[in-house]
Amino acid sequence: MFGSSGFGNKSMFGGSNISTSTTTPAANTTQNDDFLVDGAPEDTIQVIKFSPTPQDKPMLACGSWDGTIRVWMFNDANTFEGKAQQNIPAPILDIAWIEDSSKIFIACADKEARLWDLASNQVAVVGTHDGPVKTCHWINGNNYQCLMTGSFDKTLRFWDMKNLPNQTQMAQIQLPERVYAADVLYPMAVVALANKHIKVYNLENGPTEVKDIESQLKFQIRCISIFKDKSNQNPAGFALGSIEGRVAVQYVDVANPKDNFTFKCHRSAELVNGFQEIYAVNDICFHPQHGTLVTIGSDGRYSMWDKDARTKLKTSEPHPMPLTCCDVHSSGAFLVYALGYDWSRGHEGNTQPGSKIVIHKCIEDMKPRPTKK
Amino acid sequence: MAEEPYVFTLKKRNNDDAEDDWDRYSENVRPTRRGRKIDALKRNVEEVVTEETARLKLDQLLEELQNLECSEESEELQKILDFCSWFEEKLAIGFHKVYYELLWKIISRHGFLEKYKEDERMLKIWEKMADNSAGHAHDIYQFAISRKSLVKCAALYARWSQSVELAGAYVEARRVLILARTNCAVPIQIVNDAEDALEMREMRRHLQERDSDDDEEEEETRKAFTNLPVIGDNHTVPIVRLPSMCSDTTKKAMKFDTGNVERVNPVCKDNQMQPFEVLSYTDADDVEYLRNVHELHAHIERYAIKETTNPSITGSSTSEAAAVTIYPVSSSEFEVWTVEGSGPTKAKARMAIKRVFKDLSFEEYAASLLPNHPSMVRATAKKLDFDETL
Repeated sequence: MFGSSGFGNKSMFGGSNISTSTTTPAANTTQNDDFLVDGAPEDTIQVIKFSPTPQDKPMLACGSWDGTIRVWMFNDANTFEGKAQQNIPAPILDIAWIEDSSKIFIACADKEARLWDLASNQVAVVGTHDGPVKTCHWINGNNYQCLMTGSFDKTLRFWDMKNLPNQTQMAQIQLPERVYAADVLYPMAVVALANKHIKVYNLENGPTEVKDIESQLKFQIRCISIFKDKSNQNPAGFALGSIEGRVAVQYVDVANPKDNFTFKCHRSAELVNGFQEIYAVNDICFHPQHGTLVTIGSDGRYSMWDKDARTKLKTSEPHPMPLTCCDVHSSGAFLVYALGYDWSRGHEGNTQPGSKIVIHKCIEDMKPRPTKK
Repeated sequence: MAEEPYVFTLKKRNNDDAEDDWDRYSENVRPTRRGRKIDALKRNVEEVVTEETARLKLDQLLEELQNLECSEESEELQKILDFCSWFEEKLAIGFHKVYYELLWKIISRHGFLEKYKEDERMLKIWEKMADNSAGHAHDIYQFAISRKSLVKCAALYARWSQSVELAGAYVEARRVLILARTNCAVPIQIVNDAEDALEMREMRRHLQERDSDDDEEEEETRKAFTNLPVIGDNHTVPIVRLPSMCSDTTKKAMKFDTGNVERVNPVCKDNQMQPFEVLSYTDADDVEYLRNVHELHAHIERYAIKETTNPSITGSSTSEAAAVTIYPVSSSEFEVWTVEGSGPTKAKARMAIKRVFKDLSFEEYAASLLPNHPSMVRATAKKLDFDETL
């Protein structure tokens, strides 16, 4: 795949040679199987995604606020090896892999959506908005394929990739407010808006709005993630994370309103100046097999929850920086999360520049606990 | 490479509190109404009581009650309440399902509800079932009334209304109190006090919601007192008890929803008891539903109710006359739920983000800094020429 790129042994990151990620010593492996991915960007990582295709050697891509996009591949030494990098002249707000993992869509804060072809290592602008592009998702439907982008310009746009390099817009949906988060699990798409409403779309035969749900959360929505039903076949609902340290689990077609609920998370254990501090929930991911979810927050912890049993499975120890984004591999074996400053305390709060990427083996941690009777 | 400003390590830290994160939040723990006795939390290893022990103890008690003579029937309910106290002491936390099953086993005995339908001590039984029904308190109390248990006990309706209010169904809470009046529950003062307290708390909630929306300018318009807006989907309005309305006995009581009428029919009409029974309970599906209702996880967020002093209610259901909020008091050894004479001292919470981010996302803020964002020092990306590639 990368043979034609001509990189060879050329240095990729910061002038240093390509090196494998650092594995923790054996003494720590028995206690903690986490390991760091070498070559994390120098600025906050906004998005991190595993490649969608289940492979023997999964790939990992991340986009950061300094416009850096990097791709790693899991090598034979069981570490992630840096493979490619691109520099975009704007913060990266979202990325989306194409289904065969050969290309990456990039949502940028400079109002453009780009396509990075990994084989040729070239980038093209494939869509534009009137405001920063907040989300991008590749829709691989039964009858069509397109790129869905959501923006702060209050529009949701769908782009055709067949006529490149021409930008072909297939559809545009005018929204009442800015797009803050979105997720796609065909045939369902959910879009969270700044007015705390969630638009639900049916993507079969084109996007069709099927529901407009008011969020159960009182504060700004920060992330959203779709989950499947108990048979793990079809999308059934979504989980919302807010800046108030609370997550809402919402079913789209709810038979019993009591199935929808919210729970608190990512709050300080001790009092700080007499107050319990509430942190933002920065990202939510569902385990593809178990159906459990992991939340990451500005408090530097990740927590794993079983939404069906409404119990918490695990909480990590606090990390020295906020956790900004996470993803679970399609095999369910790995959880990747990024550390970095998330701007929650403004520009002056950025006291620790840089970022870290940690891989955590999660197949056992996120397994639902058996019910005792 | 430059030296890292801090030493990052993935070594596991000693954080004992992490294991109990779930229990730290008061909404995730449903305490008993009167708190937990401190002795019950200081368990010795040899005194550990298991689920099987509790089941066996109840079976023995029920067998013993079967052999009681008729003259000792008044002791039967007291022994059951003693068993409940024992259970709450020995199996304080984490046995809500077992407790509900055992309580259901008690009330489902033949003739039990009919025998004690006027005994106010049954209020404790219903309260315990409601508290351990995984958030289905409304159904439990409704079932009690449908079986004509404590139909005329005003304290039951007050407790029922309070539990519904805790679930956030304020309109339904009002309906419960209306049902109390329709059923001629006594003493009426309890119903009046509960109603006043409910409206007071409702006003306080509205004021707090208004205070939290400081940036919004609400245009207030005055409306005629008789043109109050409806609340919720039903055509009901807030209860306003004018002196003239209270003394007027000729007007009919407000009607309920059809669903409520079908399930809970009043036994009193025009302030007089009906000459014959008008309610016949034949829906067996309800019984089967309630038998296993504790398996349905209806997670309802609870928050403290700062009740006004109401000795009538507390006196009917508890031996203590304290009318304050029950809240957790943490210490270095264990966490004890207790009733304090002073007001609650629960720590306040605040969001650890800048105020501007309540309305503006982090990414919007970063995008607004462009092109002067400190991260933007890179060159423009190269454009792709597909024609050249082909």
